[in-house]
Amino acid sequence: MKKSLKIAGISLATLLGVVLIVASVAVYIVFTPDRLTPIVKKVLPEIVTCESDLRKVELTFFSTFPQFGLELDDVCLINPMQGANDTLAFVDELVATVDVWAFLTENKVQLNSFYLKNVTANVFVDSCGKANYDIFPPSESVEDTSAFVNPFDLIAIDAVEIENLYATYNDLQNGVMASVGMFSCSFDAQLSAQFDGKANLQTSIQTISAKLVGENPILANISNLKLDVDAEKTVDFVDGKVILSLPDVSFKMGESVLLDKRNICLEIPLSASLDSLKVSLQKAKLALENHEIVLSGNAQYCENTDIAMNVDFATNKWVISEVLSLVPAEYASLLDGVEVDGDLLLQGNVDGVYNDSTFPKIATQLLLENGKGCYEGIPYRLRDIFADLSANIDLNKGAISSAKIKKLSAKTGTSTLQASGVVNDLLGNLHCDLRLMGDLNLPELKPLLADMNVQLQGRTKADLNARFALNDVINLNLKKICASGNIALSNLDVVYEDSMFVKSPDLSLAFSLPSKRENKLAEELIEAKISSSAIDFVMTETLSAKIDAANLDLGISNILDTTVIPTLACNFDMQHLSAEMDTIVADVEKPSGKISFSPSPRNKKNPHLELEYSSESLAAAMGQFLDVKTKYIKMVASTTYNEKQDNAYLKWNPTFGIDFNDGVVQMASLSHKVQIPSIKFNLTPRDLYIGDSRIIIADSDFKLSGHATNIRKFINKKGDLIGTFDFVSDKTNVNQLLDLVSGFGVEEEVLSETTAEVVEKEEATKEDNPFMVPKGVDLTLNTKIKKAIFGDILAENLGGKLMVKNGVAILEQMGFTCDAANMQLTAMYRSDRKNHLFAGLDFHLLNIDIKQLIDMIPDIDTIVPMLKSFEGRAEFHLAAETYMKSNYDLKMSTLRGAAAIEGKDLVLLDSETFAKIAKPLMFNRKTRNLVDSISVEATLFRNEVDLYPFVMSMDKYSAVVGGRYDLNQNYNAHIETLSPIRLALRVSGNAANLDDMNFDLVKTKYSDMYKPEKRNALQERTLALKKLISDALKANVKEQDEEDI
Amino acid sequence: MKKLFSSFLGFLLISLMFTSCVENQTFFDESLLFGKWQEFNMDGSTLNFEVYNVDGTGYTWDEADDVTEAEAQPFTWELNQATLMQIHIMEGGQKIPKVYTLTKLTNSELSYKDDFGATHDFIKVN
Repeated sequence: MKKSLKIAGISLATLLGVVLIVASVAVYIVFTPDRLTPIVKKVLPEIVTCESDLRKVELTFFSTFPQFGLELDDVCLINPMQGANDTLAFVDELVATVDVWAFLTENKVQLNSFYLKNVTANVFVDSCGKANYDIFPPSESVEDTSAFVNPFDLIAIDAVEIENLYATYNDLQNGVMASVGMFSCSFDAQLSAQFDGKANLQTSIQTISAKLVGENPILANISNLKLDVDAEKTVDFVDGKVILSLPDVSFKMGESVLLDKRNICLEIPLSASLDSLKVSLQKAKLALENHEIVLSGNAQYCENTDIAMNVDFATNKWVISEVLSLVPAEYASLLDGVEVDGDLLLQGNVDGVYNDSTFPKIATQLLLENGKGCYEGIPYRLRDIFADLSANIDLNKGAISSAKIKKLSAKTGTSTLQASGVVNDLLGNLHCDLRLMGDLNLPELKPLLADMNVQLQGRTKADLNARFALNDVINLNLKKICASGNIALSNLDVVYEDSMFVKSPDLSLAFSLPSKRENKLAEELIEAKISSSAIDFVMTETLSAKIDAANLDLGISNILDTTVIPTLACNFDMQHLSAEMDTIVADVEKPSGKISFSPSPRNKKNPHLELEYSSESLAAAMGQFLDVKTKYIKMVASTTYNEKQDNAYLKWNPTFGIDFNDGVVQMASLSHKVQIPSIKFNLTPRDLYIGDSRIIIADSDFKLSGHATNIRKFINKKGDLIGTFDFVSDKTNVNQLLDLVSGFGVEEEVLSETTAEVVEKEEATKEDNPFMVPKGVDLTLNTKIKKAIFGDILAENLGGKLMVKNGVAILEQMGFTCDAANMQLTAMYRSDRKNHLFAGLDFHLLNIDIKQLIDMIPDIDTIVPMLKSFEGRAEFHLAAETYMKSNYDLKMSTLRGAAAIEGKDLVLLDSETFAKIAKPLMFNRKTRNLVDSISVEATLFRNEVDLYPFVMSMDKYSAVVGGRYDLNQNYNAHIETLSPIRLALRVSGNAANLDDMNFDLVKTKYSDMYKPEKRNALQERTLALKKLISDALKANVKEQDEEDI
Repeated sequence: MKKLFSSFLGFLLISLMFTSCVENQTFFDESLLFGKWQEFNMDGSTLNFEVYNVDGTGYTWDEADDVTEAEAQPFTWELNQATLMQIHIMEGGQKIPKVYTLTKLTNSELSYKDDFGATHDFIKVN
């Protein structure tokens, strides 16, 4: 065995020696440079058309052992065109080695190495597109259009090396100039006939520069480029890795420096299927400076030119300030005023098909941490910016892109802001569903209010939600926007313009768009709730208010819709409210209610206002003019404004209802305060209902209830105000009540009465302000009064009707009793004009105590002066009427009256007058003279009182008395005895001075008056007139029973 | 004494005869009363008016009291020989009778008096 091995070794060594000898012979003896160089030089012109040369061609063996190599030195191609460098190409050294054995025995072209060193190339294309590298003779063969078939079973390239290549490219036609310096590369590959195998390329270029001449010339410079490519192909699959390092890249377009010595790096592991044209990337990395993007995924080119892809991408942590530093200076101005920084991470996926009509979907996530920034237009510097965002972008037609804000937060000063939400239809009409939360230090809002003189203190926490389309926001289409939120303010202290002050320890606002409230009047758009435990509000010298525990619930319609009247509804309740404005002061306990403003349900063009209010107490004052205090009060009011009406009442159409207890009203114009223990009434535009009320005014205490209607017609002057009320009182001072209602409803001109004549007449009374009865009203007041004071009269158990109709006040059949009598009174008061006031009365005293009557009504003594001489009870009927001046002075020319007195068992008192009468008539004077009966009729006409003759029987005497006197007490009386003797006495003179009166015996004239068979015509007429007077007076007496009083 | 008593009776009888003659009243033409009369005083100061209508109604007012004709108060009247009866009607229906005796009634003048000696003189106005 050893021997065999020995023999084989010796044989192999021998063979190797022979080969070496043969090679040496071939190299150094047969294929010497001197022989090869001319051959190649001779062949060169056949290969290239340009002038060419080389210094030496040498066959190498030992330097390329174990392969033979061919070395060409100083190969030079002369530029065939003018206008360019003389040299097209120059190669200092070119060496190629081929595996001859494999080629000869295995039909394999195995280029073991190809080596170029110190290469210079100058490529030139003139303006006509003719290139200086077009140096190869035209081919005479027919162009082979068949598919390429590798004629070799294997192509193996152990090494291709280029060292120190310098090349220039000058394309005048396209304006391109480029140069490459110090280009070196090495390439080796081991490929089968199907190009299966491995390949490796390593390239370095020290400098690359390129310039594209044009309107905006492009200039690119790259230094120290390195490119490493490893690839392996197996059947239809290729795996490999490409590493490209561009540590120094500059790129300039026009005057814009887009890249300035930037480091770009690509590290791309890839695999590809040549059959399916599918490329897969595994963490392919693209980097600009420190900013990397890693791509993983695949892309496939389809026969229909679709490119299907599914690629994930992710960045490393990018520092935003560094990224922004990459922005070309030209575009840096876009960032003027912007300072932003932070750590940014971006990742995502591109999935789908790309072709002329479709785009793949892009899903991306962005994470920003430690961000900070500011913008000169926004007076805040944000810090701790955090953003966790994602987006799904679909550029296909009709597709919806969206973005999601998982969290976006930032801080500024001591305030924080946070947002989250979703944005759909990102590339179309943005649909947003966002939530914004904030914790703001209010003083830090001051920069936003720089134009306002406002000082803020306090904090606010806000939580806002909004769902809207961007178009709807731009177009202020509030109906399509959904928003809600809560804003909580604490320790609020606001000073505005140094004149408005608002303080509150807590104030919260919640709102909702659209409103969730139900409003029967109109559709609400916005709902808001405001609450606070306490609010202090001050407007210097104008208004101050304090509110405790306030809650407001607001509903507002679309106020931007100017085609309809907006709707505002507010429910409110407070623990306490006190306010002061000018001279108005109010203090309210637990006010609550509702106020609403809306279009009228009947006519949408008219505004409608409603108010519901209640409070446990209310105290309000308007200087000295008005002071109101109540305990529980409930109030309902509404009004519909109709601008087409002239009258204020008709314009506002008020509806008003009130119910309150223990109220006190004081007005400067009222001499007495009005106490209202309870009142309940409702006012509608047409009617007034007073359900129940109890009112105390000075000496008066009454209950008032009833119903008035026709108010609108009354205001319109189309009808009377009609009403019936019940007035029930324990005590009423009529004088005080008349003062309260004087002048209501009377025309101004009637009140002023400015005719020159009247003015002249009333100069002395121009300050008079008589009671003017309302006109255009038909009101009835049913009274039931236990005690009433009118003038100096105290009446008891007063019952009857007080009617006011068309300027006339009528006290109808008012029955009452006083200490003196049971009384019936019908009275009329009419104020035709200020200086022409009518008063009339029909007065019946059915059981009169004469003495107390005179005490009660002293004026009766003037009309019936002899009454004071009697004592006892009588029946008295009196009717009188007169017109009065504005100061209530009587117009004597209009005075009319009639009286009738009937009495029995009276006492004629002894008096000085009686003594004067008794003596001539020979009466028996007693202190108390009993009178059986009297029946007196008297009339009053102007200043004249006519006392119709009447019979008075006293003791054994019977006398007739008649005569005339006037209101100045001038008497002309006739007293005539009928029994026991017949005498007549004429009494004349002024009763004011009894001593000057005359008492003269005169002729009798009534002797036959009471003897029917002997009466003359004059006496008949006298008696007829007495009856006429008496019957007319008694005709109005009402039968009295208990129910009447 | 007897003669004296006879003379007294005779005087009384004559007196009664004369008295009855005096009470015989004069007739006045009622139509002369129709129209508007203004009361006349010596000083001419009164502004009292009376209007007598054909139908027996009338009204009175005194402009001195700032009363206009439209605001006058009504009465009814009746002229019987020389007796003029006015019944003034109050607004409540009560009646105030006034009886006068005409002393003059012409186309332009009217005078009457009452039983208490009060006289009133009027001139006719249009």
